[in-house]
Amino acid sequence: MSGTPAAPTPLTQLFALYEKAEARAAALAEQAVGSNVFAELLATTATNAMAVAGLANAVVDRGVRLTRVAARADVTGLARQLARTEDKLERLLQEVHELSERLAVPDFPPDDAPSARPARAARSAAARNGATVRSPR
Amino acid sequence: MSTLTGLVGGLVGGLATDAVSLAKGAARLPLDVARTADILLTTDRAVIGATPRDVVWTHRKTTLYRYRSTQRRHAVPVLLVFALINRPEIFDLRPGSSFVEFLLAEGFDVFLVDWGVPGEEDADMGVAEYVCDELHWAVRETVRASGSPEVSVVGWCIGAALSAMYTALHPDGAVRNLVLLTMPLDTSGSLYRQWVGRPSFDADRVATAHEGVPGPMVDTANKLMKPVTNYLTTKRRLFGQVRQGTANKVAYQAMAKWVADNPRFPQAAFRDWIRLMYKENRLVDGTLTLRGRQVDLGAIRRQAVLVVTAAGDHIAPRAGTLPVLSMVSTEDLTHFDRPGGHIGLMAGSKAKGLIWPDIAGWLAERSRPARTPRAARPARTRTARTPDQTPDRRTP
Repeated sequence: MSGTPAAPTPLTQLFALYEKAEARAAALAEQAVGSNVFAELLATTATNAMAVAGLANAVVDRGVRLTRVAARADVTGLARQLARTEDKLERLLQEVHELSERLAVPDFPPDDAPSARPARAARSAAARNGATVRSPR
Repeated sequence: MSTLTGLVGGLVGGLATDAVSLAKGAARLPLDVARTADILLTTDRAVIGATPRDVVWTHRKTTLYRYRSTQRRHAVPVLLVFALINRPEIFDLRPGSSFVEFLLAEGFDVFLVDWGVPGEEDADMGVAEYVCDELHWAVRETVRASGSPEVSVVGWCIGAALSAMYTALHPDGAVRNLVLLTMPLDTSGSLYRQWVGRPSFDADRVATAHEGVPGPMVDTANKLMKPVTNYLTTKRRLFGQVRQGTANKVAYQAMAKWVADNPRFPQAAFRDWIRLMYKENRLVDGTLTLRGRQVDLGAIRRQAVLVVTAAGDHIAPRAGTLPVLSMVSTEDLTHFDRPGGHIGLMAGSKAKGLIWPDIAGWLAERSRPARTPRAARPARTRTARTPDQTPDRRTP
C-alpha cells in the first residue's frame, strides 16, 4: 500500500508519444484549414470540380439520349412535373381546409358522426326542397 | 533527443524485463484489429431512429411524423426541426440514447419534420420554400393532429435558424415556445464563412452542376474543419477502447452511421443559405427577406425562447449564436450554455444527464394549456403510406 504509481510500460510510453504527435498534427491541420490559402484553394477546387462534373453529366446524358433511352435529365424533368402537381394539390388542400373551417364543418368527419353532414349534401337537399342555402362568410 | 534516447532505452529495458506482457499484448493485437475492423465495417447495420412513429402528413420529400405514446401529459406538442444537411434521426439516435424517447417518457406529444432526401427535381426548394411552405404546413398539421392550438418548436443547427425565421414571420402564429439548439446566426467569425463567404466561391456554379450539392461533398467539407480529429483520431480512439475492452459498439456505430448519411443540399436552398447567411450575413443584420417579407427576429416577442449553446461548437460557434439573446423581444428568454460540440451537446453520451432534463423541464413549465384546445382531427388516410412508399433512404 505504498501508493507509488506503477512505472509506465514502454508500449504505454510509445502510445503517449503518438497521442502527443497526433494532437500536435490536429492543431496544425486546423490552423492550415483556417488559412486564406486553403480557403482560396478549396473554393476554387470546389467550383472547378463541380463545373467538370456538370460537363461530364451533360456528355453522359447526351450519349444516353442518342440511344433513345430517357436520360437522367428526362427523369428529373418528369419528377419535377410530379412535384409541381403535388404543390398544387397541397395548395388546393389548404383552400379546402380554410373553406371547411369557415363552414365549421369537419373536413374529415368520423364515420360514426351522423350530425356531421357534408355541406354540399345539405345544400343539394335544401335545393331539392326549394330552399336557398348560403354559405356563412 | 534525450526523450527519444530515454524512450528507446526504456523500450529495450522493458522488452528485456517485461517480455511476457509484451508478448501477450502482441498476441492480442490481431484480435483487437479484427474487432475494430468489424465495428467499422458493419456500421451500416446499426439501427437508428427506431422509436415507433406514424406518418401524419407528406409533401414532396417532407414528412411529418408523430411518435406513438400512451403517456402524453403536456398540452402543447413538441415539433422537432433538424438541419437540411443531415438526417433528423439524430433526435432519435438509438434506444436508450434518444431525445425523442426521453421526451415521450416525460409525457410530451412529439412530432418530427423530416425534410427527406431531396433529389435533382427538388432543385427549386429554397430557404423560402422550407420556411414559408414546408415548416408552415408542418406546424399546421401538428396543430390539426394534436388538437392543440399551440406548439413548441425545437430547432437544431440549420433547423434552429429556419424555426427562428418562421417564428419571426408568424409572431402571432401557433408557435408558443421556441427552442434554438446551436443555431448559426452571426457567421462573421466562422470557418465556413472563411471558406464559402469569399468571392471566389461561386455558390451558383457549385450548386448548379448537380442541381444541388451532393451529400458526400457536404460531409467532406464538415470533416475538413477538423481533418485529423475526424479522419484519424476517432478511429484511433475506437481502437484504443477496443484494446481496453471499453468500446461501445452500438453507440459508435449509431453515431458513425448517422454522420455518414448526408442527403443532397437542394440547389436553391444551398444558394440561398450561402448567400444569405455567409456571404451577406443577413439574418443577424435583420435584412433577410423571404418572399418579400422581412425576417426580423425582434418580432419574436410573444413566444418563450430557449437558446442552447455548446462551448466547443466549431460549426456554429457559440459567439455567433449569442446575438440572438439581444435580438428577440420576448421577456421569457433563457440561455443554457453547456460543454460539448455542435452535435455532441445533444447526442453525446452525457447529453441525457446534462441537457435533456433541462430542456424538458423548461418545456414542461411552458406547456400548460393556455387557449381553448381544438378537437384533434382524425388521422388522414390520404397521407398514410405503406412502408414501401414511405420516403426512407434505406429503401429508395
